Amino acid sequence: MKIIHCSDLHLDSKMKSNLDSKKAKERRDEILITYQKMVKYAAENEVKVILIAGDMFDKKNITVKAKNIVIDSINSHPEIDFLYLKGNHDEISFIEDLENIPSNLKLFNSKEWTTYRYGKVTISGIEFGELDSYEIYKSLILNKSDINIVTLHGQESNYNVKDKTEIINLKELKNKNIDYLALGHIHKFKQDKLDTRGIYCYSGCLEGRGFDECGEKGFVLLEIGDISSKITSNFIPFSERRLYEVKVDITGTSTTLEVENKIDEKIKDIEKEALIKIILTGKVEIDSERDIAYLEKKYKNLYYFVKIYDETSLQINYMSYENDVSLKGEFIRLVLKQKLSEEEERRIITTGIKALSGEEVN
Amino acid sequence: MNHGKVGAYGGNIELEINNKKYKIERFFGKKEADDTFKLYDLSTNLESNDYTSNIGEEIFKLNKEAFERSTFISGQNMETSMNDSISAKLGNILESENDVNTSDKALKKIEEAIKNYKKTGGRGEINEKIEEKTKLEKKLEQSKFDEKNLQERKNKNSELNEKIKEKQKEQEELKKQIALSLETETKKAKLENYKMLIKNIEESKSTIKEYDEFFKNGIPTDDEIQTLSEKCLLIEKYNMKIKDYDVTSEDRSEIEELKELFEDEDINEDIINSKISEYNNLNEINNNIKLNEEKIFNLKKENESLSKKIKNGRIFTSLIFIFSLITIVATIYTYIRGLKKVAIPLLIVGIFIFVIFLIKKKLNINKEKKSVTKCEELKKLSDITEQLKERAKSIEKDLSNIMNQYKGAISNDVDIVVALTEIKTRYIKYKDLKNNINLFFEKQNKIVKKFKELKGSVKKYLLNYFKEVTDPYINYVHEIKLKKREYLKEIKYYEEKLKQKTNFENTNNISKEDLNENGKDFNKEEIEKKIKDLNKEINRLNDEKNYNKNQIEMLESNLETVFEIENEIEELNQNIQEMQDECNILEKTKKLLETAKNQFSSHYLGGMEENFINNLKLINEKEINANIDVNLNVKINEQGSNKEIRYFSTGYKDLIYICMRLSLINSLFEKEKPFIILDDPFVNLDKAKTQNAINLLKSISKEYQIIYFICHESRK
Repeated sequence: MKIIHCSDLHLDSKMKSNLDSKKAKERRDEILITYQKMVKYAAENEVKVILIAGDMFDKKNITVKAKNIVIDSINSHPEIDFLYLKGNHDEISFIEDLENIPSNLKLFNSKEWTTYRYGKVTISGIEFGELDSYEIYKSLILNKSDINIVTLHGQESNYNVKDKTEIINLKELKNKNIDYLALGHIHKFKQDKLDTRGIYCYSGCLEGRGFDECGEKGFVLLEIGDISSKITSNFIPFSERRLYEVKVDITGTSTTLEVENKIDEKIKDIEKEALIKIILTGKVEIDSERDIAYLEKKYKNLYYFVKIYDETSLQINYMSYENDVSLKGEFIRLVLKQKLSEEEERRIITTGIKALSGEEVN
Repeated sequence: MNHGKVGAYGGNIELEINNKKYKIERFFGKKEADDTFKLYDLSTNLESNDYTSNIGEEIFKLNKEAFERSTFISGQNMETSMNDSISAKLGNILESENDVNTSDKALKKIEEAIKNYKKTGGRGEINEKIEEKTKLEKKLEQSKFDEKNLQERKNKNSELNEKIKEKQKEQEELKKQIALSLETETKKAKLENYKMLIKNIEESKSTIKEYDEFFKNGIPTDDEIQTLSEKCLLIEKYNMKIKDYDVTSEDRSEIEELKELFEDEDINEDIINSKISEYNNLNEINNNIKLNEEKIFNLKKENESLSKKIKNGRIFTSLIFIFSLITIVATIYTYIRGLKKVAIPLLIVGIFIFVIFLIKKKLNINKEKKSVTKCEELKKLSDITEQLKERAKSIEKDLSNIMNQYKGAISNDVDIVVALTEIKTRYIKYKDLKNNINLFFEKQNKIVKKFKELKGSVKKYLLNYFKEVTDPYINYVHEIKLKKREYLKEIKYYEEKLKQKTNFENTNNISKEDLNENGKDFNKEEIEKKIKDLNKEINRLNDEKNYNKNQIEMLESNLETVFEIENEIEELNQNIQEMQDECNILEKTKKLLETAKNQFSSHYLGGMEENFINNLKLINEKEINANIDVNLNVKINEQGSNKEIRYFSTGYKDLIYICMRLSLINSLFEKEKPFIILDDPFVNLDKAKTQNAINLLKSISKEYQIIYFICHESRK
C-alpha cells in the first residue's frame, strides 16, 4: 500500500517573494498545477491515500478555480482516498461550501480522534482547537498489532501547553504504538526518530512561496509492505521551481562588473527556472561603484525571478578623514558623528559622495 | 563681455606671477569668435602657453562672476553674494578638492532627486504611488465588503440547506404515514376481495346448476356440434339450391310469350340463318342487277357511237376510193396525154390516197367486228339481268312471308336482317328457357328429397335440448355451442375461485370479525395536501438557494481579483517604502551636506566678519555690531536685534557693501593679491565718509594695485 503524506499546500495563497502581480499569479497557478501533478503521480503509482496534514488553503475565501480544481481532482480519482486534516490556516469554508462531500474525501475533526482503516493500516488524526493537549494525547489509543499512522498539524515541541494552540509534544506521543507521525506546519522537510518503534516527519510544503521557504520542496511517499508490514518513507522533491537565497561577499570590488563576476561565480549552478534572492555583503570602499538596478535587470533576463539586496557596509578609514580639510572630509566626519545604522551611514555617504562627484543620485 | 554692444576694443597688460613677468595682448571683437588673446613671456618676449585666455580664473582661482562679485566694485552693483567659486576660494581648498566647487550642484541634484519623490502640491512619485495605492485600497475595501457579503450568503445558504433538510424530513414523516395508511387500505381491500370471491363462487354455482338442467341429456361433444352445424349449413345450402331451381316469374311469363310464337311453327335456327343468308344474297343480286343495267346502258351507248363511226368511215372510204379512182383516171389520162410530169405526181398522190383508202377500209372492218361483239355481249348481259330480277322477286316474297308470320317477335321491321336476328335470338331464348326449366325441375326434385331427410334428422336431435324448434336450426346449434362453452367456462371459473378462496384462507388469517370490520378512517387527502405544500416550500427554498448560489458564484468570481489587488498594494507599499526610504536618505544626505558646507564655510567667516567691522568703523567712525552668514548676507545689530540691509538708507547700504567687498577681497586672496577696480563706488557717501573710504583705499593700496574711476573731483 502506498500513501502520500503532504502538507502546507497553501493553495491559492499570497506569494511572499516580492513578485510582481503577473508573476505572483503565475506562481499561484503553478502551485495548483503542482498539486494536480501530485494527484496524477498518485494515480499513476497506485497510491491509495493522499494524506494532507493541514493548511491545504490559508484563507477564508478561495477562488472558484482553486475550489473546482481540488474538487475535480478528488472526484476524478475515486480510487484514491483524500484524508484532509485542517491546519491553523485552514479557516476556509471549503468543506462547508460543498453540498455533497465526495465519498473519497475523508475528514478529521477537533472533538475526537478519527481513525480510517485500510486493512492492517490505520490512519488517525485530530485537529487542534477544542481539546487541550492532555486530553488529546490521553485519548489516543492504538493497537500494537496494527500499522499506525497518526497525523497532526502543529509545531513540534517537548513540552505541553495549557491552551489549545498547535503545539505537538513529541514526548507525549512516544510509546503510543505510532509507526509514522505525519506532521504539517513546518514548511521544510524534516524526519527524525519518535521512539523505538516509529518516526515523525514534516513533509514540508509542496512549493516555496517566499525566500523563507528555500530549498527542495515536495511530499513524502510511504510504502507499506503487504507481508513485511514495514513502512518505508521517501521524500520526493516535486516543486515546479526552487527558491534560493544567495549571499555574495563583494568585499574588494569597486565596479559593477566586478560585482557581477562575483555573483556569476555564486549562482552559476542554479537552474534558470529558479527564484533567487541575492544579498550583497562585505565591506566596500566609499568610491566603489555598483548599479543594483542594472544587475537586477541582467539577472531577471536569465532567471525566472531575481531580487538583489545590497547589505554591504563601507570600508572607511576614519583616520584619513579626521584631518581632511575639505568639504568631503567635513561631510564624512559629520555623517560618522550621527547615530545612524550601518546601512543608513553607507547609503548617506554614498549618496553624498555621488552628488559631490556630479553623478546622478537616484 | 557684451559682444556686439560696445564694438571692438582691446589693449595690453603687463603682470608678474610667481616672479615671472608676462604681457597680455587681448582684443575683443564684435563676436566672441573674433576675440584674440596672446601671452608673452617678457623675459624672452616669446609667446607663452603658461596660461590660457581664462588666465584670471587660473591665477586667482575665481571665475568671471566671482571676480565681478569681489574685486570689481562698481557703484552700480556692489551687493556681495556667495557663489561656489567664492565659497571654494574662501575655503582655500581648490588646489586639492575639485569636488567641493560643485557643492551647490550636488545639493541641487539631491534636491531634484527629492523633488522627483516629493513635489509640492501633493505631487511626486511617492504621492503618485500613494494615490494609486489609495485607489486600490478602495477597490480592496469593496472586495472586503464583497467578502463579507459572500460570507453572509454562505451562511444564508447553510440556513437554507438546514431548512430544506427539515422540510424534507417532515415530508418523509408524512409519506410514512401515507405508507401506513396504504397498508391498512390494502388489508381492507383484501377483505373486500375475499367477500367478492365468496359471492362469485355462489353466483357461479347457481349458473352451473342452470346449465346442468339444460344439458340433462348429456353434453354434446365438439364433433357432434360440428356435425350438427355442418348439417344445418347443408340444410341452408339445399334450401338455397331449391330456391335457385325455381323458375322466376319473368322467365315464366317470357316462356309463355315465346311459346305462343314458336311452339306450333316449324322453324329452327338453320331456317332463320338461311333466310338471313338469302336476304344477304338478295342485296347482292340487286347490286348485280344494278351493275348489269349500268353495263347494258354503256354498251348500248358504245354501240351507237361505234355504228355512227362505222357509218362515217364507210362514207369517208367511199369518198377516198372515188377520189383515188379519179386520180388514177387522171394519171392515166395525163400519161396518155403524155403529160408525164403531171402524171407521175398524180400517180404518187393516187397511190397515196389509195393507201389511205386501204388503211381506212381495214379500220372500218375492225370497228364492225367490234360492234358485232358488243351486241352479243349486250344480249347476254340482258338475259342474266332478267334472271337476277326473277330471283330477287322470289326471295323478297319469301322474306315477306316470314316477317309477317313472326311479326310479334320483332320490334323493328325496317331492317330485315335485324328483324331476322331478333326472331333468331328469341327463338334461341325460348329453346334455352324451355331446356333450363326442364333441367331445374329435375334437379330440384332430387334436392328436395335430401333436404327433407336432413331436416328431420336435425330437428330430432335438437328436440333433446329444446321443447320445440323452428327453422333455421343453426341458431339452436349456436345456442348449444355457446351454452356448452359458457358451462365449461363457468365450471373452470368456479374451480378457480374455489382455489383462490382456499389460497386466500391459507395465506390470510381471516376471521369472521375481520369480515365484519369496516376499517379506520384516514384523511389521506389532508396528508397529501400537506406533502404537496411541503414540496412547494422545498421548491421555493431551493429556488432561493439557487439564487443565493448564483450570487455566491458571482461574489467568488469578483473576489478572484482580490489577490491581484492585494499583490499590487503590497508591491506599491514596497515601492512607497523604498522610495520613502530613499527620500529619507536623500533628505538626510542633503541636510548633512548643507551642514557640512556651512560648517566648512564658517571657518573663514570669523576673520571676514572682523575685517568688515574694522573697515566699517574706519569709514563710519562709529562702533557697530554685525553678523555675516555663510551666504555673505550681512545683518547689522541695532538695539539688540539683527536688521537686514534692505532696511537701511542707500548711503548706508553702499557703505556696508564697500566694506563687505574689501573684507571679501582680503579673505579671498591670501597669496596672489589681485588688482581692485573701483568704478566710482562712493557716490552715495557723504564727504566725511568718502574721505574715510579714500583713506582706507590708500591703506589697502600697499598690498593691492587699485584702479579707481571717478566721475567727480569731489571723490578724488
